[in-house]
Amino acid sequence: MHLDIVVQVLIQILLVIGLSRLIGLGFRRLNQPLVIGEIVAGIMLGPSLFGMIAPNVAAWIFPPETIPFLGVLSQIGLIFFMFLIGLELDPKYLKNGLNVAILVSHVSILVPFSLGALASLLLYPLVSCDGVSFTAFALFLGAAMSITAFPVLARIITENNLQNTRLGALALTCAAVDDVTAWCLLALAIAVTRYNNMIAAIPTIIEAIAYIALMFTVGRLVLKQFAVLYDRKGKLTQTVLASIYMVVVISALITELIGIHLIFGAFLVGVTMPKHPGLTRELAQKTEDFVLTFLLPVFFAYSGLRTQVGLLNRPVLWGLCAIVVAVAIIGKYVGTYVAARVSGVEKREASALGWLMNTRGLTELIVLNIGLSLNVISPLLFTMLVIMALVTTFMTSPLLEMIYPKQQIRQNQINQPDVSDQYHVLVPIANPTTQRGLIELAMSIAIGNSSNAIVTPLSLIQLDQDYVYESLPSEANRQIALTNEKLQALIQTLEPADYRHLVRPIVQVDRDVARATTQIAMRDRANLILVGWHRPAFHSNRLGGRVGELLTMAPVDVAVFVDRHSTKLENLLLPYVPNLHTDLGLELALRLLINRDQTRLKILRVQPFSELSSEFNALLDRLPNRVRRRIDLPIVEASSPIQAVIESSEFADLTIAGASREWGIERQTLGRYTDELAEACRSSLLITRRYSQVASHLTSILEVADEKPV
Amino acid sequence: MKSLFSAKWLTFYGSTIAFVIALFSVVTNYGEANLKAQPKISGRYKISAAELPGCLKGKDLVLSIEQSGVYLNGSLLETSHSTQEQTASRKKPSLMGTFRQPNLELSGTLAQIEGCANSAIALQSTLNQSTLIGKLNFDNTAIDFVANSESIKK
Repeated sequence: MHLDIVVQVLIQILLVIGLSRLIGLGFRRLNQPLVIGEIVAGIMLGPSLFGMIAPNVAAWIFPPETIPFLGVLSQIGLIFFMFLIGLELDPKYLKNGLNVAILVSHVSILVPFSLGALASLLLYPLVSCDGVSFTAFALFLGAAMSITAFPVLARIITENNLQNTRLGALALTCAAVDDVTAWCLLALAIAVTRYNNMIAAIPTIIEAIAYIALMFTVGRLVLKQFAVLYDRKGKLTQTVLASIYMVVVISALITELIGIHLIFGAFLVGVTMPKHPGLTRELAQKTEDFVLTFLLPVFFAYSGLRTQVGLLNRPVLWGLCAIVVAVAIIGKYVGTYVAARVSGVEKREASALGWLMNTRGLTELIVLNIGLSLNVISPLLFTMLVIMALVTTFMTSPLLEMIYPKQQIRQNQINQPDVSDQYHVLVPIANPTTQRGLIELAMSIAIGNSSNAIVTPLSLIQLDQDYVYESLPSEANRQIALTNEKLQALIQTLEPADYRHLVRPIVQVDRDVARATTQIAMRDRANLILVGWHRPAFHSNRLGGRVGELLTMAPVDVAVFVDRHSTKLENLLLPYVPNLHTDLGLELALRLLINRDQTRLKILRVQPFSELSSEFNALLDRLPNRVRRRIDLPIVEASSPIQAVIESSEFADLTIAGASREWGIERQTLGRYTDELAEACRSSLLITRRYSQVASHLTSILEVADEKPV
Repeated sequence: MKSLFSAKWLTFYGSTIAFVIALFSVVTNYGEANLKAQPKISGRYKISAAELPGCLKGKDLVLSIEQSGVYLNGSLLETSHSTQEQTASRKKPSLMGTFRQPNLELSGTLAQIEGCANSAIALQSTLNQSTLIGKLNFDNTAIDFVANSESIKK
């Protein structure tokens, strides 16, 4: 069947975008940057997998006559991606310890560059052709070994909440310096490759330097006008956007004519654009969506079609590949570590910095594709270097966690109070403006006459995508500051005012809210996670989604609050079923009773659950009289226990129910929650799920209650 | 942290750069003078032989070669193969070998030739300008062959 070229290319793009998202998200679940998954998806579509298992189908889907079209699309994608990288390179990254950054980044380039040049002595006779001079080959291999991926590194730093630590600030500065230096080195390598010797490339190098100087002087002044226009209109109009894009393309064409590469012109425009916060943000947001979701996966596929892991078909070639990977890792890590130590950085930080700088990601892929297009590297070496890029990027996150665990990060941030001895309620907050009731309930449970308690509203800013502008450290900090502001404003309205200082929010970036909440709960030894119920987006299950994940995975007692927006907490209802989840419900109810003198509790016993367990009775016996007399224990006969509870909830401000099948809120074997009570309850509802049978929520508070005069 | 650009900093930075430049000069001078890469031979070679053995009998054959330095991959195809079949063969080459001027060796299977059912084949030849001259071992028979380049990829 013969299809029109446009139709074929569109089918390819459909396949590329779909697979790239799918594999990318798979890698996200492995705590890896999305970009690794996208690169792997591109490789899978090429001869390495698809071509290997179904060569005829692969040849039909990717016929040779369509590849140039993918090439053009990927070049356009690269031009605008490089413009985005330049746009993100804010001079403020260069304000943190510039001397250390220059030394570390330059040594971290020079060491792998030198090792790359030495490796050329081995690789050139084996994997190169005589049309390529040794100098060009060595220069290119050295440049390829020297790359650090600033964009990937910046996202890894944000995701690990390192942006406000010494290490994060230093790594960002180093990566920024590294980025600029490595691109200059690559431009030199391209110029030398095109003329096959250093001397002939000198005019090109001089022209490139002159153009860079022009862009940083006249160009910068011209580009400043875009900021003026932006301020005048208050937004980025389509005309201004079109003008900026034209400038990007013109600059790309100029650098191509000079004899370096299209991408440098685009990168230069990005770097020299005025760093006006509003303009930069809007420009990045308007540009990135299409570039990152559509054009960049096409580049990965184009690159993947040229990657042939099957070429490594002898042990000796895998040996050479291992040498390439080892040279890259040793060069980057050792260079960074030694330079950092010479600059006075501590061992642990120097080591973490070494692994961060070893990230090569997508930037490496850009360099390699240029090398392959110029024929300076052969398909075999290209494949080895792609494997190196994947390995070095893949290893960053786990090594960073091993060397510089999140506990250590926390120690390097300021004003972290010690919460180990206090009764601690952790409250994940999605929206500070609508979850006031949740924080108030947490305060009522935690804080009474004893101030030995703390409530931690936890707001996690989720980064779903890797390269979006919002995931840059500076942007993440802006979002953190905004959320903090909202939380502080909310805290200032909480009553009683004397206890506001016991509400200490945590705001940070994380990809996986449930996992992060669990980790923070364990780290800060929270006694309870109090989470607000929300309607999941993709199923009707009320206790699914993130709430479900927390109920399933948190090794801490969890309570889910279904808020019916009643501000009172005077009448509590606890339907009794003999199980440990109900025991937790009772403990929380008793905390409310002890902390609030006006609160009453009705423990509803519905047949056949009229017999209180011995533990339950023992607990009631321990209560001081002033608390005990505010507890009623009615027994009701009902054909349907749940119906009896629903009817009683009409007269309650808060119903507290242990997660159990009697109330239709038990975890089912197939991962579904039923949620009958959550749906039908007429008061606010607190669903409790006990994790630890030994943890008590009453130990500290009963002592205080005993001391209090009746 | 140290003060900006201290003597220690300048010494370390300067000596590192000087060392790398010197090293790079030595390496490139040595490489340019003593190391030789292989000439480019990627491309398609039309095979001529007096009498091809076994299942190859009567077929017009083309040897497609992909090169990365001394390492070769390729496929033996029929001239009648469609573009799609040729593309598929490049995605999954069935021959592998080496080229150290002037000797070229390739061996593997005839995955793309109809009726040959993945039979093993080996080629040993020498490259003379753009012509391969050598022996083809197939079906327990060794025959002489000549293969002329259709176009050498630049």
